[in-house]
Formats: sequence, structure tokens, C-alpha cells
Amino acid sequence: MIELRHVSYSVPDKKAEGGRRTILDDISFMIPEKSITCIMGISGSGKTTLLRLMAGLVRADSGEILINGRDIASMSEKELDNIRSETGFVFQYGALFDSLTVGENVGFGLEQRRRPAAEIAEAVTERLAEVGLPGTQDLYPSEISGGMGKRVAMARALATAPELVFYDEPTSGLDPVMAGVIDDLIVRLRERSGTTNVVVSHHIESILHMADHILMLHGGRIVAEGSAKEIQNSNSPVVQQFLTGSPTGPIAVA
Amino acid sequence: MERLAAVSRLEEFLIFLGQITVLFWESVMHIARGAVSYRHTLRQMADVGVGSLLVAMITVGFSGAVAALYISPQLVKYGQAGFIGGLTGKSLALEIAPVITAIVVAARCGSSMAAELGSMRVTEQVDALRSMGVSPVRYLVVPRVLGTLLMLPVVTVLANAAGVLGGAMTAASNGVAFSIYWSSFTSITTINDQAQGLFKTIPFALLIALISCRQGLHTRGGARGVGLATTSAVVFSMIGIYVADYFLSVILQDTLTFLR
Repeated sequence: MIELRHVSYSVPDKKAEGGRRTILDDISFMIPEKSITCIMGISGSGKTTLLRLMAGLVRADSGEILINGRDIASMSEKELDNIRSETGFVFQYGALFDSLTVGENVGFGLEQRRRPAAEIAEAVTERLAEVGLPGTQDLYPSEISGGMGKRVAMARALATAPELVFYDEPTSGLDPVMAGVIDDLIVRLRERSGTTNVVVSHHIESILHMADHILMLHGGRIVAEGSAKEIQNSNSPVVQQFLTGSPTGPIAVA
Repeated sequence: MERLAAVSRLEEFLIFLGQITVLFWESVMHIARGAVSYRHTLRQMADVGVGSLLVAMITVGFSGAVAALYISPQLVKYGQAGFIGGLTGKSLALEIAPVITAIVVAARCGSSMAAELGSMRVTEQVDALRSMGVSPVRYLVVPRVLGTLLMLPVVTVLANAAGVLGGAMTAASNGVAFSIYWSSFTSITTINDQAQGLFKTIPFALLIALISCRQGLHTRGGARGVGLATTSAVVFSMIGIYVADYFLSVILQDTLTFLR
């Protein structure tokens, strides 16, 4: 469903050689349909950038990003809007529209598609119940906790019934119980809706709990790929250092 | 080294102009396609119109009063009191009302646009819109451009009226009867003057909305970034208004002569 072919991405940096700093370097991989694929790596390894590239929120310097066989890297902004409207994105800090209520946030995508008010209201009620937040429609994002905000963000991303959902650090900043709730929710929603899910995270427990497929990103490259078991048994020193959280090893700590 | 810095600044300025142009063009395309949220446009109209009206009327009203304050004693002294209303009215219509109203709207609404969009940008709300296939230009910029475009002329007309009234009151305090002031105003201040002033509000409105939205949408760096975006939106809008005012005045002076 998603395939990346030789994707590279860099950002302007006056201190770097050539005036650009490479974030992702010639990355290629495939994400199986209806899977939960976790991209793991240390902070600043380019995980979120990779996710944003797949969601069409930033443009690659080179390479192809195929979603259902269509290369989004070469699409116009308008064509990208059509692709994006078929996907869901859960941002690290929720990114809820703070001037809208929880209900308006969840129903936003449907409202933009000019769906009837009754259909929007029904979808909002259903999605909020699904994420365990019934009756919160009239609250504003500033009136709910961080964990609730993440669940509202999930409800918003899923309200339009997307085939593909991107999660950016869905459990960061949450207590272990709430992190477990979010992990279970991702698994449950995949089972119910059959969505393809790409989750960026550095929480080992979350990753091993829910992932069908794991990619380890380090130094702008994919250094390991496989199932949770394969990753755990990997003899890559980078993977082992990441899994054990050891301060010594090939992963340089700045 | 200095030359390099100058080239870099010129490059930044040209990129800024390019981004404003792209924002304008994309807004025009959305409006032409009818992709306009009337609810959001009405909210922006209320923000610009109702929100700025009182401040604009007070500032332009007192500016008219001050203009008449300086003009009146001189003209009364030379027995030319019959020109006070006309000169005050002309100054107000051509320059004071459109420029000061635009400055008020830039300070009050432009800053708010940049702050709101800037805050949305740094909290990823703009990206959230894009991730749902919603164009930030259509959803955020178009209503602000239309709201400012539709309400700045209205606010300017009412502020202008306040200025004329302010001038009349100052003139009266210098012994000039209202009938003389009014007669001078109607005979000297022409439709051409009013049209010129009103016409200026269109580019002023575009400058305020586009610059403010551009600054907001390109905000980086959290709360400090939002503060910088807000300040720069007002400063750049003010500079834009005064620069545009000069060139518009030069052009309009010759082109609207048929209304004289």
C-alpha cells in the first residue's frame, strides 16, 4: 500500500557542507496493507519527518513515495489534498483546533466534505464513544487532559473512515496506563476498520505490544526491519542499544 | 561579508514578495472557484468592521479635529474661513481617513490574524488542516482577505465622517459656523477625492490581510515566534501601506480626473 523508493530529504543548514543537512538518506521500504508498522529511532533521527513525507506534508528532495501505486512526491498541492483527505494523521500534541469544541474537531473532516449535519453528529458520537470519551462534544480542547486530547485527535483522524492512519508519537508524554489505553485503541481500531497504520514512536513497550512490522531509523537510514520478534533478536548493535536503552554503543549521545 | 549579508537580505525580501504574490493568487483562485466559507468570512467581517470601527472613528475623528485646528486660525486670519471645511475634507478623504483607518486595522486586526495563524502554525493546527486535505489558504486566508477587503472601505467611510465632524467642531470653536464649514466641504471636496480615498482601501486591505496571514503561516519557534510574527505583520503592513499610498496617490491623481 505504501512504498518508498530511494527517498532523500534534507533541510537548509548554513553550518553543513553544501548548505544542507541530510535528514533521510536514500530510504526504501514497503508498508504492508492493514498492518501496524512502527518506525522507531532515537529523538531527532527523522521519524516524524519520514511520517510527514508519507502524509504529503513535506516534499522529498528525491525518490518516489507510492500510496496505492500513486507517487505523491510528484503531485501538485491540489492532487495531494485529495490523497490527504483519504488519510488520517494523529499529531504528537494532538493539534486540535483550539477555537472549536471537541465535537466540532471530530466532525471537522466530514463538515469539510459537506456531509449532512445529522450524519456528522452521529459520526461524532460514535467516534467519541469508540475512544472512550462519550459526552465530551461540548468541551473545548483547553478543558480536557493531554491523554483525552490524544484520543480526541484519534477520533478526528478516524471520523472520515480513512484507509491509512499516521500516528506521530501517540503515547509521548502520557502515563503508562494512558499509553496502554492508546496502544490498545490503535490495535482495536485496526481490527474494526481494517486500516493500515504507521506509528512513529520510541517507546519500546508500545512498539513491541502493537507492531506487526518494525522499521528502525538511525543516521537517516533504515538500519533494521522486521517483525517484533526479528527486531528483538537482531544482532545489530544499534538496535540492541536502542532496545536496552544503554548509554554506551554506536548511537552517539549528543 | 557585508555584501553577502546584503544579498541574503535582498533574497529574503524577494522570497517574501513571492510568497505574498502566491498567497494572493491562490486566494483569487479559491474565490473564483467559489470555495469560500461564508460563515468564516462573516466572522472576519465582524472582526474587522465592528472591532475596528470605534478605534478608527476616534483616531480619524481627532485627526480631522487637529487638521482643522491648524488650518482654521490661519484661514480665519486671512479672511478665508470658507476654505476650512473643504481643505479639512480633502485631507481627510484623500489621505488621513484611508491611511489612518488602514493603520488602525493593521494594528488591531492584522496583528490578531498573524497571532492566530502563528499560534495555529506552531501548534501544528495548520498541518492538521493540510493532513485532512483542507487548504489553509482556503480555510484561513480567504475569509481574512475577503473580510478585510469588504469592511475596510466601510470603516474608512464612517471614520472619514467622524473626521469631518471633528473638523467642524474645531472650526466652530474658532468661530466658523457649521453652515460655512459644510458649504465649503461640499463645494471643495469632490467625488473624485472621495473615490480616490476609497479606492486606496482596496490595496491597503489586501496588503494588511496578505502580509498578516503570510507572517502567521510562516511562524517558527513557539511563543517567541508568534510574538515576532505579530510585530512584523504590523510593521510590514504599515510600511506597505505608506509605500503603496505614495504610488497610488501619484497614479490616482491623474487617472480619476473624469470624476472631477
